[in-house]
Amino acid sequence: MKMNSASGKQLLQLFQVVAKRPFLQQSFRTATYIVERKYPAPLAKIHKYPSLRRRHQVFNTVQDKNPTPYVRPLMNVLLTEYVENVGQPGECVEIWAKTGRELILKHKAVYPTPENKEKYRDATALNIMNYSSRYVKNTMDILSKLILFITMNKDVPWTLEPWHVRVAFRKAHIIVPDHAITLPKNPIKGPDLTLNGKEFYVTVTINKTEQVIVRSRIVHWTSKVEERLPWVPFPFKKPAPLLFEEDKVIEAQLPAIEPLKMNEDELEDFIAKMKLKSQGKILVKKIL
Amino acid sequence: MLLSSSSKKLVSSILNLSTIRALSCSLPSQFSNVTLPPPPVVLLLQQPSRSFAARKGTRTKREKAKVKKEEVKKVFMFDKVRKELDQPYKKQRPFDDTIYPLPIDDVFVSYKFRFTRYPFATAVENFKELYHPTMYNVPDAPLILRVNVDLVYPNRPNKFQDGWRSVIEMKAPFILEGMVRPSILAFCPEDVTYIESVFAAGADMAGSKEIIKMILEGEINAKEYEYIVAHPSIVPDLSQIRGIIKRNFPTVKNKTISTDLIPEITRLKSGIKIRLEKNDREPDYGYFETPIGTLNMTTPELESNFMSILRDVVPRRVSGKRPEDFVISCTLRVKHHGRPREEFKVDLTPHLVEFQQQQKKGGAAGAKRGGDEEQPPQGDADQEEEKIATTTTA
Repeated sequence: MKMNSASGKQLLQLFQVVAKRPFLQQSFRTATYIVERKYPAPLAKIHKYPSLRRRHQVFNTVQDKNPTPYVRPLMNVLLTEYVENVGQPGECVEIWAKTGRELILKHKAVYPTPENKEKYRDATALNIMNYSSRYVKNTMDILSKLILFITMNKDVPWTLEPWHVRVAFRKAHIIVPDHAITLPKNPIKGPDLTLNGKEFYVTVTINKTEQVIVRSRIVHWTSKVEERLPWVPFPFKKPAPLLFEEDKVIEAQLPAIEPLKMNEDELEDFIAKMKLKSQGKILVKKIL
Repeated sequence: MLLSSSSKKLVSSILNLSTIRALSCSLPSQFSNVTLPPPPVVLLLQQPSRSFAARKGTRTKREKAKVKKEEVKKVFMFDKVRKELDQPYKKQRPFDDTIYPLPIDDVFVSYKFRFTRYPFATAVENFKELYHPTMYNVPDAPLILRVNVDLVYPNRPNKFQDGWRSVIEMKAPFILEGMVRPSILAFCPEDVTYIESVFAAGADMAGSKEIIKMILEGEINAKEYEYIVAHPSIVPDLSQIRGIIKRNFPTVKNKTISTDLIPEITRLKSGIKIRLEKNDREPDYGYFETPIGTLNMTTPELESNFMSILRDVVPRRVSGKRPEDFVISCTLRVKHHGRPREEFKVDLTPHLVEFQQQQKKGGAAGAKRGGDEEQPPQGDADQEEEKIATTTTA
């Protein structure tokens, strides 16, 4: 029995010695190392792997001591179409080589040879669809799906101005200058609770060329907690009545609102949870 | 066969055991239930050279050579705190957004691009619009500044600056809800007109030798006052009550002893306390939050308060560190319960120009001031410039 215990200790010692060896530690190092084959491998046949032997897995280290971090290889590409977030047709762009090769495969780009550069010099003459800048299509998609809620006061009288809309846009993480906003012709005045939640349309012009129509609704708000309007669940998932009847033509052109994915039972549970939360908040405010 | 002496012994011992095992098979049936130990696992790699016991002298030596493990004292900690420490730490340093592109268009989605750094005036105007009476109707909401600071020494990645506390004078003073002004006790020379002027400046209690008597008798409790200010002519008499006012004893270093008490009292009254918050898990970063004013105030007033804070913070950097590296960013927000939670980064390039010019003139600015803690230093620009001038000439 004495022998048994001694052997167990020795096993542990042996394991510790093995674990400290450099070939096990090397596997945890994370960096790039440059390595060269000692015996060069033969060329492969078409649609077949090269026949590698054991001698081909012997390497010589070229660079080991000062490893460099991995950098994405870049490449220059000449675009033939409008590509979202990348560039306009006829533009020479430096991008990640992987995406660049994909674009060339899809016939959206070519290599920037001098012949190609002459061909795509005037994108307007070739009748290719174009926007004023590379990010414009993305912003137009986001704006067309957006429903803008403009919070206005319930106590103080007001008339809607462009800067009110600008602040509402900024709250929704979209930055719009004053000159890009055009309001409906009829003035909107308040406070008026018949307006609350009704839809009207604001047009935004990007770079003074593209125009987008944005659904917008007015919400009344007060600093007095008890006089606030009741909370509505998911107002941005429901269609609302129009404020002006003239806008029926515009409404037909706009993309439909995405419906809610919840069941009725799930919605009721959600509402009950939120009401409990809001009650708690109000109680805390009263105590303070 | 090359076997060492020890391994030979081992083999012989195994043979002995095996003979016993063989004998047990031939034993009569009444001994058949006897269970023998299992056959031993043998390792021929490393074996002790001898099986007998070591000498007494060596055993005592070995015991002496063993280092006793120092028992680590368990610090008392609540379960909540321990759980928080066990969890992975989330860094508080603001995210480096330089990998994101800059916006080109006049209309853009802000979260897809680099954070916009607003000039101070436009950042304030944005809040004034949001809390306008026609919209959210909170025109007197308090405006709060957050300053993020990098504390690493230049060219020394493992050395970090310490935190600090200070009282900063606000050029345009203001009062918020729940803000209490510190109480001040002033010791003046025996002059009725002077004492009246000190009362008018804002001191809660002022007088000469009469007050010292009242403190000794116990009519006035000196510990109720946060700051104690004294004129140099009365300082020798104060030694009687040194035991009663221990920490708050006025000193020249803290600028609580001066020939002109009135500006010191106004500084302490209209000042705002600041403490740089620092974490042991993230020692290269510190931050603090202070109110600057309310939205009722004009933008030049708010900007003067903002500059007075920067004039206190920026000279605390180590020598050789650029001001734009020291102050990472400043963000403005409004203290208002619930939504909307908007924050704006301030563009600091126009505000840091004067500190950069000082650095060009005379090397390190305020290298010595980083050391002294718990001392309320001043935010006046003129005094700082004098200090810098003296250091450069010497």
